[in-house]
Amino acid sequence: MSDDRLTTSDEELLVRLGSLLAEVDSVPESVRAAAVASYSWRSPDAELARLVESMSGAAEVRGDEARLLTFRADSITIEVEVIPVRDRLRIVGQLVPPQPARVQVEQPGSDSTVGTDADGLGRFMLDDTAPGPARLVCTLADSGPICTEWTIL
Amino acid sequence: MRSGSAVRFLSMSDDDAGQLVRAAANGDQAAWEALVDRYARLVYTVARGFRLDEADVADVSQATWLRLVENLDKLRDPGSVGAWLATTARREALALLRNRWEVPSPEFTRSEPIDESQPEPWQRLVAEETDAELWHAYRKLPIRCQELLRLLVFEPVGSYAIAAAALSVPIGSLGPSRARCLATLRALLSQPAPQRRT
Repeated sequence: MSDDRLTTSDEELLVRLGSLLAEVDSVPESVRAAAVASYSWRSPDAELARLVESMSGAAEVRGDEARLLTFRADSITIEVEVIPVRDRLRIVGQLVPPQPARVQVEQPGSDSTVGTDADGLGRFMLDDTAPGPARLVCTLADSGPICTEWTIL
Repeated sequence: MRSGSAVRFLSMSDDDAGQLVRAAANGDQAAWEALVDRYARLVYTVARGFRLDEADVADVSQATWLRLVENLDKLRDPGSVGAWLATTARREALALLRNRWEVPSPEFTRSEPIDESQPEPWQRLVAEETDAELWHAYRKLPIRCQELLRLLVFEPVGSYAIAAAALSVPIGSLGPSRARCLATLRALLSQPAPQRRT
């Protein structure tokens, strides 16, 4: 910062602007509360499945507004298609390699957690998910829970 | 002796931020709330820099904080958590825009230049005459200048890394850009006051 040090008058101007913008950009209480509450979703023991691919509106494939998301952990890949149904979302998924599992969708805005069982081919469907931040939690027969990264659906 | 700036914009060192991240990773709820207190406005401001409605801005903010929760023990440089949050909020906002088919380029995702015929929603907040003049001048700045200054006033000291992450520009460009934006702002302030709507 040595070659662009602020003059005193520049600094005063920035401080005045800072006071002004502190009021204009004040964070709504609900937004702050949601940030604080995020901590309750800490799950240090779960394995994280990273989002490795996101394709929106694969119109040439589907002709609709579906999104294709691919999450990858060491032992498993979770592929999901997110399909808008009116103002809700349907999640159709596939575990690779195919295997039975308990699959739940978690959303910070929702009190209850919706879950389903993937069939022997690793397929599952979750209906009636609200748009917004969400993650899937997969519990496999022989390992701990695997959480997808939080993603805005 | 300078007054005001150091009080209003208490700066947190990288060490402090890194300690909070490590404490929060170990289950310290108070450390988490201290991180939120410190960076909630940064995350919110970055999210607001895109053409998103209030509900989407809230989603981007929440998703950014949830991403930090899941990465608390995985950050390569916990001391740079501010820059990490700014980058993550920016990515979440851009991803949300892409999903809406509004494939963005930086020029078009920023908030639009002010329409002088519209009443300004912030006007009630800037009641004092000098503030009103400053606000009026600020809103006449190019959008990139508004965004840059908005991010730089968080912490006059040491916030370049965060602002560079939030704007996705080289850190070396910020000093010259800031000087240019402040000069423009000063020039706008010295112009005759515009006609007031009262």
